[in-house]
Amino acid sequence: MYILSVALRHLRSRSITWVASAMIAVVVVLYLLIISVLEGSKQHWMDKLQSIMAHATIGVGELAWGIQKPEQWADEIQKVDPGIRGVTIGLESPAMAIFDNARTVGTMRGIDLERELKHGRLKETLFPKDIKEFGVHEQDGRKLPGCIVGGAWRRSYGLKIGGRVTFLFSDEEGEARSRAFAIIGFFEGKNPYLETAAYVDRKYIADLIGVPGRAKTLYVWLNEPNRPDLKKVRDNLREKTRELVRREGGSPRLEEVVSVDTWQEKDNKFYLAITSENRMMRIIMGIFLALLAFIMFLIFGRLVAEKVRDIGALRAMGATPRGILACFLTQALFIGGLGLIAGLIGAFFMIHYLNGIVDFIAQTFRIDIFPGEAFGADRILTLTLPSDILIISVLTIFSALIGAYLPAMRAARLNPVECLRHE
Amino acid sequence: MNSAAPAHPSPYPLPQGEREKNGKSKPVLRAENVHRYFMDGARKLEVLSGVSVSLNPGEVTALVGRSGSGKSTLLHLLGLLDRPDEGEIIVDGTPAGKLSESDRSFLRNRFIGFVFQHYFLLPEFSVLDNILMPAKVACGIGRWVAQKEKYLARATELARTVGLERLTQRPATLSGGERQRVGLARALMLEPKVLLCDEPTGNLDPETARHIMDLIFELSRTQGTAVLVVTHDQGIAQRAGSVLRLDHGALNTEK
Repeated sequence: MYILSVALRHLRSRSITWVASAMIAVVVVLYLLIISVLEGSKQHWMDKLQSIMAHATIGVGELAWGIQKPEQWADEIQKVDPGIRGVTIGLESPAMAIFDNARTVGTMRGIDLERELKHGRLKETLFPKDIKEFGVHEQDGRKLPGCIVGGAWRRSYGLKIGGRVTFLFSDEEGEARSRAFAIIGFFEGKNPYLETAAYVDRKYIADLIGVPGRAKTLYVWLNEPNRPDLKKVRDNLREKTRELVRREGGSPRLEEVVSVDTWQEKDNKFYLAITSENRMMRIIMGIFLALLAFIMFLIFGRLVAEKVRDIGALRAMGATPRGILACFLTQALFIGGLGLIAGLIGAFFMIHYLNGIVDFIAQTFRIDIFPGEAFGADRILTLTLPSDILIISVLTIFSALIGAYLPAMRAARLNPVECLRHE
Repeated sequence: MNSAAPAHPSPYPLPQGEREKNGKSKPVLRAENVHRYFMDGARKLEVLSGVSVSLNPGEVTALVGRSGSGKSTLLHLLGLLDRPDEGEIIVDGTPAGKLSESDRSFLRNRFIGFVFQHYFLLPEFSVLDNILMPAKVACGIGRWVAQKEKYLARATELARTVGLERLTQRPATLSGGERQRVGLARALMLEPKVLLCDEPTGNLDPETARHIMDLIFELSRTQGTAVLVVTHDQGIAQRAGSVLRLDHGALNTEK
């Protein structure tokens, strides 16, 4: 009982312990705030990076004949991993898009809309939401196939539903072809590359290009796009695709041109930059926690030095060395626990009101803390993961205990006679 | 000796054979041929050389000698705060030499009370909490919760016995005499069989010192506690049942 009693009384009566708790709280607030902002930022950029891009893309672009039986391939690819949500089929072709008042270069993407809406992310940003098929639409007496245009073009050229776009492209023979489409909707790609495109019906465009029924890309959608074994899934997909190429009579060289990329590899450097930044900041915060342990070491070193006579008195009353050790470690636990609780409350408060605080500082001091246009967001995005709360909780308590351990051990090993003779 | 059942019966296996031999009280604390050396650089100083002493229930023994003669060293050895280089300390029939530090702490808690010249009260705790501290050392949380009322009653009674009134005060606000009363009450909290007093009146005025010693003699007589008082005060030595003098590490019985 004395362990708890002494630890609590020392905690209450020593201002330095409150200072230690406050310091721990500050570190917890900083850790969670910085990590939450980084996670929010990472999520934001990952969302942009991933966008409507499939989680893995199987390309056979160099196979002149493309994928002859894409539906069959899709079914077989689906069986490669139980985590595959679905496989969609694409036929991409670079094209010049000609609008009423402008022309630009982009991509014409042939897709199976029903399959895409079922498995892909197109439906998340599709406008209007109720588009189910491309269909055929009459404009000025002409029957035009429908297409869904990227948001970047909509914004740049003031496009509207019911408008028209003409694509100029080449077929498999290299002959120039053009075809007009009726705009039936828009999608947001979240990044400019994906948005400078239009979705059209794959089978229609395959006929136009001269590869009827075929596809050149399979898009694999996973239940968990961030799964840690993404590369393993990629390798399995690659192996399966090569097997399919072999079965269709492709040469060994052609097997090698099959490309299977995960969404992370599509923009590898950017992805690495974001994840490295996140990791580096965690290491820096880890150094802060190590510093915290050092501060606890200094504080408890001083506490033990001040309490030598009390330690002697307690030993004379029958306290064991282990009990003395427990007194100081319990005190460290209280200090760490109090700091952690205060820090968690402070962190949640800061994270919740972060944008308000930033706005207040910006207005008061006329400092542009968060240039939203640079980040492609109008406010600071935060994401507090339960795992980060758990990590900071465990590390904080661990730092407090590890910092206090050596001084506490010294206290436990003090000779009681020397303690009682201590001036 | 106090015939009532002890408030804290020991779970410790104690030999019973020597008790009440020849109708005489068995010593509750003994030092047998104890030697204690200290190193002064390369020189070996023998502070205690073959000291033997027995403390009997209900007896007050005064330990006198010049400063540096080894009185406090002997008291620390008897209180199991230190270990002899040779010889043995026997607490209520249990040789303490080979016991672990944990077992020695247990014996110290249950059998021995200390009163120090410099009080050694815990400054963050109130008078009452200081008196209760040995009981807190003896108890885990569960036992403390179950027996808190009993201990509180005991502490309050002890405080009244030694003449303390301001139980919620911190030691810093007390006079020297009051602090020593707290120290005495604390030492008696678990009804120890032995009370070891290291110059308990050394920092007190004569009147207060007399009151404190009156209390110690009275408690020894009524509760059967064996008391060893290290003192320079001849008045205390004259009142004691026996007087031991330490001189150059050797113990002589004067009375």
